[in-house]
Order: sequence, then structure tokens, then C-alpha cells
Amino acid sequence: MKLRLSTMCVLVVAAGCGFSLFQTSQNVQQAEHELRNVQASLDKERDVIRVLETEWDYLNRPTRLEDLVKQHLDMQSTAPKALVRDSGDVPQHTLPVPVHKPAAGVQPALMKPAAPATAAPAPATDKSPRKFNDLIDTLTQPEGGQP
Amino acid sequence: MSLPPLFSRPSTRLIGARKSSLDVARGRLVFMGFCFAAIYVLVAARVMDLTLIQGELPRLTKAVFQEGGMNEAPVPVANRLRGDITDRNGVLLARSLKTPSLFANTTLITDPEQVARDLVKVLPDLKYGDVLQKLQRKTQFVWIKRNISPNSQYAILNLGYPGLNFQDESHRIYPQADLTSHIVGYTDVDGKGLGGVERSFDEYLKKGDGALTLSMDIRLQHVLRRELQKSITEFSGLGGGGVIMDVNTGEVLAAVSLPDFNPHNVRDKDKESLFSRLTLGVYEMGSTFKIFSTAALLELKNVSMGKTFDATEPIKIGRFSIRDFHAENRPLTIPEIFMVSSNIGAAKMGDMIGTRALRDFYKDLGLMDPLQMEVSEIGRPIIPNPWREVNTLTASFGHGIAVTPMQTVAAVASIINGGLLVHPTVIMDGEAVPDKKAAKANRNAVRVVSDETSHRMRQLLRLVVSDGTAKSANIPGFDVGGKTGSAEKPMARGYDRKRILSSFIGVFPMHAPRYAVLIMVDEPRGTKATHGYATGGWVAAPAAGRVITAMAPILGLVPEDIDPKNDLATPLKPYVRDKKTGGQLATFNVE
Repeated sequence: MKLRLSTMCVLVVAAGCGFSLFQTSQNVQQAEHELRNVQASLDKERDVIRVLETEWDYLNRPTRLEDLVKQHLDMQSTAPKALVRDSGDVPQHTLPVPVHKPAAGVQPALMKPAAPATAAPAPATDKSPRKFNDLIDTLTQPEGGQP
Repeated sequence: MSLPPLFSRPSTRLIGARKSSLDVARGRLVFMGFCFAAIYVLVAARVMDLTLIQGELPRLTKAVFQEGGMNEAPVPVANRLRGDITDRNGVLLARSLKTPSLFANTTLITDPEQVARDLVKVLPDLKYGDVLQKLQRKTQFVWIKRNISPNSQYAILNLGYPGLNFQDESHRIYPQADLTSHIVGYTDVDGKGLGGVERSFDEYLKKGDGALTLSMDIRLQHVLRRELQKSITEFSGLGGGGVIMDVNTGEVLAAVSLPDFNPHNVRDKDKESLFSRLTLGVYEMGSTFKIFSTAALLELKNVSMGKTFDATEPIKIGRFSIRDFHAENRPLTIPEIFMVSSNIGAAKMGDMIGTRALRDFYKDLGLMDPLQMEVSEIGRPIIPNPWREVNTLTASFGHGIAVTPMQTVAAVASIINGGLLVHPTVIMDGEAVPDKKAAKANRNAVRVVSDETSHRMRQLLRLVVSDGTAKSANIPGFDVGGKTGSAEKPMARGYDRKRILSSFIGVFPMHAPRYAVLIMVDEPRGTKATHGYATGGWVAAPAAGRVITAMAPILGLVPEDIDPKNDLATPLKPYVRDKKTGGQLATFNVE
């Protein structure tokens, strides 16, 4: 039996179509598989971010920050009396401006070098080194109080 | 040579055996053709089914449900986590997190004693007996412990016992713990809101559509709670309350009721700390009510500041007698009555206003109806019924009528801000509350006092802080005004002079008011430093001063020094007698 040219062409095209269809379908399956994985890891990341955000706000409780400041820094809140009402009142030439330090935003002329602290600051040891996981522990304990 | 058409019959006519064999062959070909066609139709149908009906349609409908979110499968409402609650700056006040809960399938556990022993090692707060009892019951499902930490989960998985399984549950975490307990509220273990905003917005939060933003500012809340706690400790008070409110919008920036509770661990028996003094508790507020009676007098009777009321002798009505705490025993002008907080003077002012007018005025300020606010704990004011004439006199200085502190602050804000009624609110955004936008639009539509009366009240409040009972709240640069209150608490018969409710409502800056600060301490006891006094001027005003001092840098308020000539209180000083010299505090400036 003699194959005509047109039949040959049709067969080749059909085979090509079949192959490309198969390949596309494989690619789609592959892509969907990857998508599922990515989505699963995204969900996981989202959960982790939620936990981290909560931990961030937990660690930034004003109460805790205040305690930390008291413990580690020699700073106080500004009294209204201490605020200069008019920027014109600020003395401009108390110290010569050092030229070699062009620090933007800082006015070294107004700053005296910080006096050395009389007592060395206590080493930064957190009195209660608690992890967030422990927090959940604490919170779920029936008698667990707020740290 | 031209090819014959593909499916046309051959034009040559054949006969005999050749014809019949060709016919058979054609018949077979046609049959085969039909078979293939049928198979192709089947394949096409299947392709339609897979791509369109099963593949694309569900995606399209999904896309309709969650706009643009083609990739995410819609989470059924039941599985969604409860919505967050945040403060006005987005700091989390409440959030639900997925935490594992441990349950046991005891049919798979062969050695309950050993398992119980190991479990108690990992979870030390469990009792061996309880765990063993649970494990010895033959059941497919029994909770051992709900909401455990990832660390404990890891340790239990490491034990490797079959029959110990985990289920993800949501657990409500309050990162700020007891700082916002009364306003935010709390939930039970199944995530049902039981108090505060958690309860009043339970439906909304359950849907998990988004965060509920409160108008509170956690930094101010902390400052307020710290200073209030300091006052309560210093004066050994039973408890107290504090509010910071935006006087123009009614937004509550901070609200503290002490003692408070840890929302993670609420015990029903602890009624005292669960009780919200600000919105549920009703109190006879005392002299702070003179703000309202004086405003009513100025608004309705159009009297001059120089008008005097005789406060020489206590008023006696039946078994009641109205006395002054700092008795002056002389006729007093309106600024003097306000400044020295004369009950006799205020009662006479109330008499002049009249029962009907005073009641209507209080009603306009929202003092006669239950507080309207978005928390679930709302107290109902106690109004004298029937309202006799003596009630008019006592209500003028804040006795015989009990309202919630939150209402009092809102009413003061309404008078001070230029005379427009404000409703206290703790919710920032309009999405959670559909009618909130409309409410916001109408918010400033109701006028309770005229602009002029509001201005005169600001002058009077400033006078109290610059020269009167609340000098300790006079923070330089912030132009503070306010009124102290020291209300004796009612007993079975009459009032107990030893048990008082000391309060101070401060407003600042007085020339263009923005914030109102209430400090209230329940049953404070005087100390040596205060010469035994426990009145509002000694207890609450200094605390309010400290709050204002600490608030200013947080809110970025720049102190402004005001020339004494331009001070709001200056025009009133000629009406006030100077105790030292016996003359006036200042003379009229006739120019």
C-alpha cells in the first residue's frame, strides 16, 4: 500500500499534536504540583508571621519597654519645663563645630560629650529570659500569672 | 493528472465478483470511520468535561466569591481564625493563633500508667491521677490538654506513643494582657466573646473578615494605668478609673478600670476585677457635676459672672442639710462657687435654674439615659424617682444622681469643645459598624450649649487649675483646666464622710481643647504628705497632671507659654476674693 504525501503530513501533524498535548498536560500537572507546594509553604509562612507579629507586640509592651529602659538606660521622659519653646532661644555657638564629621541631622555644636557613667551599667542580662513559646505555656497554665 | 474527489464513488462501473468485494471493503471502511468518529466524539466530550466543567467553571465561580484570589481556596467560615483587635496604631490587642491541642485515642494505648507518667514529665501542670483516669477510659477521643506550646508538642511527638494525637485549635492571645482588659474583654476556650468589645462585636470577629481597630492608643493606656495605679497604691484606694478622651470626636484614647484582670486567665469568682468601673459602675460623681449645673445656669439664665449666691449658712431641707467642705460663710460669686467648690452655692444655682430646666439639661447631655458605647458592660444611671425639689439642689453638686464615669467625661467634653454633643466611642473604623459612618456624620450636629457658654466654662475650668483646688494639675505650657470632685459615698442613711470618691476631670489645652482626662480613685485615704486629706485636689489632680505631662511627648504636643494677660482665667480673677489680703485676686482692667 502506497502512502500518499498528504496522509503522511496528517499523521506527522497528529503525532506532533499528541506529543505537545501530552507535554502540556505534564507541564500543567507539574506546575500545579509546584503551586500547591508554594501555597502550602505560603500558608506556613503566614502562620509564622502571625506568631512573630504577636511576639513583636508582646515584646514591645510599654510596660516591658519601660522596665528595660529603667534597667539599662539612664534616660527619663522629658519634662515640659525642659522643652525649649522657641528655636531662636537655642544657643548656636557654644562649641566650635568639628569640620571633619559631617553628620547629617545631628548638631554636634549643641552636644556636650556624654560624661562617663559613674557606675558601670549592669551587664545586659535579661532577668526573665522567656521565649514566646513559654509565653503560651504560661498563659495556658491555670495559675499562670502575667510576667 | 487530477486526483479524484476523496469520497465520491468511482465512476467506473464494475460488475460481478470484483464489484461485490469492493462493496464489502467500502462498507467496512465506512463502519471503521463511524467507529473512529464515535471515539473522537467521546474524547471531545471528555476533554470538555475535564477542562471546562471540572476545571474552569469552579475556578470562575471561586473568583467571583473572592475577587482576584484565584489561587487561594476559600476558607470555610468555621475554620477561619477570629479577627484581630488592634489599637489605633495597629498594635495588636487580641489575635487568634493556631496552637496544637493534645487528645488521646485510648484504644491504641497499651500501657496507660507509663504514658501518663511520661506525659506529666512533659506537661508538669497536669496531674498524674487525672491523666491516668482519662487514659484508662476506653474511648476514641479525650482531650488531655488544649493549646499547648510547640515545644511541648515536639517533646510529646518524641515520646512516640501511638494514640497521642494533636488537633490544631485557635487560641486567643492578648499580647498586652491586663493593660486593656475591660475594653477589649475576653473569650472562653471555644473563642466566644464574653466581655468588652469581644462580646459586643462577637459576630463580626467570628467572621474573621479583618481587624477591628479601636480608637485606643496603647501608649496612653499604659501611662494612664501606671499613674492611676500609683495614686491608688499611694492612697490605699479600693480601685479607680481613668479615661483619656478626644473632646471633639468622643474617641476614647485610653480607658482604665482598676483592679483589672488577665484576659488569658479569667476566673468568674473574681467579680471585683471583672467589674468595669468606667462603663458599668454608676457613681455619684460629686463636684464635677458643678460643671453641668454652672453651664446650665450660664446657658439658660444668662447671668453675669459677678452674680452672688449666699453661702453663709448650710441649707436645711427636712433631714438633709447641705454643707460646704471648705466653708467660706459669705456670699460667693459664680467663679468663687466653682473655684472653692461650694455645695451651698451650687444648690442655690440649681434652685435658680429650676427642676424642669436642670433635668432637661442633664438629659440633653446624656446623663439621664444609659451610656451609649460599643462595649457590652453598660450601667444604667440611677435617677431620683420621683424627682423632688431637694433632688434638684443635690443634683447641682453631683449627689442623689449616679452616672457612669464615661458619661461624665463625654458630657464635659460636649460642654468644653464649643458646645457640640459627643458620644463616647472606642471603635475607629466604619467597616465593623455599618451605621457608624452615618453616626459620624451626625456626630457634631447636636448643640447642647452655645459657643459663648462653652467659652465661659473654659474660663471657669482654667480658674480652678490656675488658682483653685486643682493647682497640682497645672502643667506649665499645656494650659490645663479642670474640676475636682470629692463625693461622699452613700450609706444606708445619708452619706459617709470618711468614704469618698475622689476625682478630677482635666481638659487641655484650654484655649482650643483637644483632650479630656478623668482620674477617679475609690475610697482613698489621706497620707502624711497630704495632711490627711484625700480629696480630688490631693489625690486625683496630681495624677492627672502626671498623665498630661507624660501624654504630651507621646502625642507630640509642644508646650506653649501663655502670657498671664491672655490666660483664660484672668478675666474672672476680679470676681474672686484673695484670702490673704481680703481684696480681689485682680482688678478689672478698665482701658
